[in-house]
Amino acid sequence: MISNGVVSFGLEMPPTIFLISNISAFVTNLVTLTFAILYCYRDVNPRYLRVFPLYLAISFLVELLVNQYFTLLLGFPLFGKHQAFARHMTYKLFTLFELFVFSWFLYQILYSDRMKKGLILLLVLFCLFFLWSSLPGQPGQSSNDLAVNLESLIVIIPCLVYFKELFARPVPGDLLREPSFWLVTGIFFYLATIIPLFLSGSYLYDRGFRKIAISLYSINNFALSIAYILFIKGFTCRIRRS
Amino acid sequence: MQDKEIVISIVIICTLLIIILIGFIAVILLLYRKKQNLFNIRLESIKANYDKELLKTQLEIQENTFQYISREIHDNIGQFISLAKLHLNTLEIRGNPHATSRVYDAVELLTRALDELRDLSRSLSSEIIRNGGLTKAIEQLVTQLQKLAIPEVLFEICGDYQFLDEQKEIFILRILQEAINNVIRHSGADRIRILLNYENNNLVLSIYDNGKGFDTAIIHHQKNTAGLSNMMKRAKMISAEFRIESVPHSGTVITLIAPY
Repeated sequence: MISNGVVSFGLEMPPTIFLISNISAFVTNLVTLTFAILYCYRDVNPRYLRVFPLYLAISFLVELLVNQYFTLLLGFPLFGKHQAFARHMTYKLFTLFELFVFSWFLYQILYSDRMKKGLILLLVLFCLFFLWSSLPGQPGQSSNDLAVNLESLIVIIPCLVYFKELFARPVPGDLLREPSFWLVTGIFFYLATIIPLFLSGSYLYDRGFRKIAISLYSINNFALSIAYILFIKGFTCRIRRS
Repeated sequence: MQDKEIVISIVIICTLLIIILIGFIAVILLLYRKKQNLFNIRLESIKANYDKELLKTQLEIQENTFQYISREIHDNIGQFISLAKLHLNTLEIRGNPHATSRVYDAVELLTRALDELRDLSRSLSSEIIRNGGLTKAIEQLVTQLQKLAIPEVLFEICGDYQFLDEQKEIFILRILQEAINNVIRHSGADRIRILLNYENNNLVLSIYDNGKGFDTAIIHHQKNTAGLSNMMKRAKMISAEFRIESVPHSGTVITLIAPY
């Protein structure tokens, strides 16, 4: 997850609340990564947990290298005058990577074959959209918002199916000890907040309420921090050796 | 919008989101716990049914074995003894008084053995339940008991007799037989009272004895209580309540309350 996919903001310093939220997401990302490295490779863990350290590491690197405010704050734009382009491309590619990671994870934990096939189809359609939107003159050239919203929609559907399957299980287990429950809840919570925030943020930004729009994205960063905390809960579940 | 107002709005929205998330997780965990509880109840019920079926099968097998032994005693061993008696009775030994006396003794012994075997066969057989019901079976048991060394066996019936399911009556008879057997073997009683009471849709069978009694706490500790355990299992099978009240040196009361 990236703390902010909006690339069309200017490079002036954002409101304090937004900076705080960015730092909060960044720090929780680092902490979650540490927990992931320590806990996700235990023998008793399900296989799907092993993808999370990689995902969190890349997420952390993306933030570290191209987050527009961090580079501004710390004064080291790594890509010099191409910083804006590099940031846009990195976020775009990260959106695709994140979608594939979440989809793979959900594919591993879902039972419904229909949903699994549907997920593959949605991924193919997303890839086609991704290619199309990256063509010159298309919206993806300047903004990643639509891709992020679509990603959220694609991931939210299997998350809901997971919750449905949870209650359809013939033998209910202990949810407190089930990593997938906490991970799905974290992903679902974060992505469910993205859509309204990104839509309203874009709307306000287009109408000149830049400060409010940018501030609104801090909610997204705080939601991301909470999602990471849920990830930690998922990683540290005491799974019974069977 | 001022900075302060923006911050307050964001804090409020974030708080609301956190509350929604916590609520969401709490609802899912609660619903899931409910589902788990329902599952556990269902599992317990399946296990209980399975145990009951297993016990039923065991008791049926035991009952079939009883019937088989009863038939064998009646049809084979009884016939052989009768034949042996016939042979002895037809021996030409009139001129030999010693031999006559020995043969007479042997015939007497065989007659007693035959009687004992017939009683055993009858007690093992559930035929009498089919033909005369539980009271007839108990009366027959009392008659057999009266032949034994116990001086006093009383049998009383209160209330209107109700025909119970045949299987249920067989189980009640077996419990009674086991209880009487325990009284004879362990209590040293000289008086047994059997009371069959039909009241409030329940059959209440009480067996009183004036024997030496025992500390009922041993039921839970002592391992050698197969007879008691059998009675309890049978009572459970017919959904009956089974109670033992006993005080050392003051006799024992066994009560079975079976709904009909």
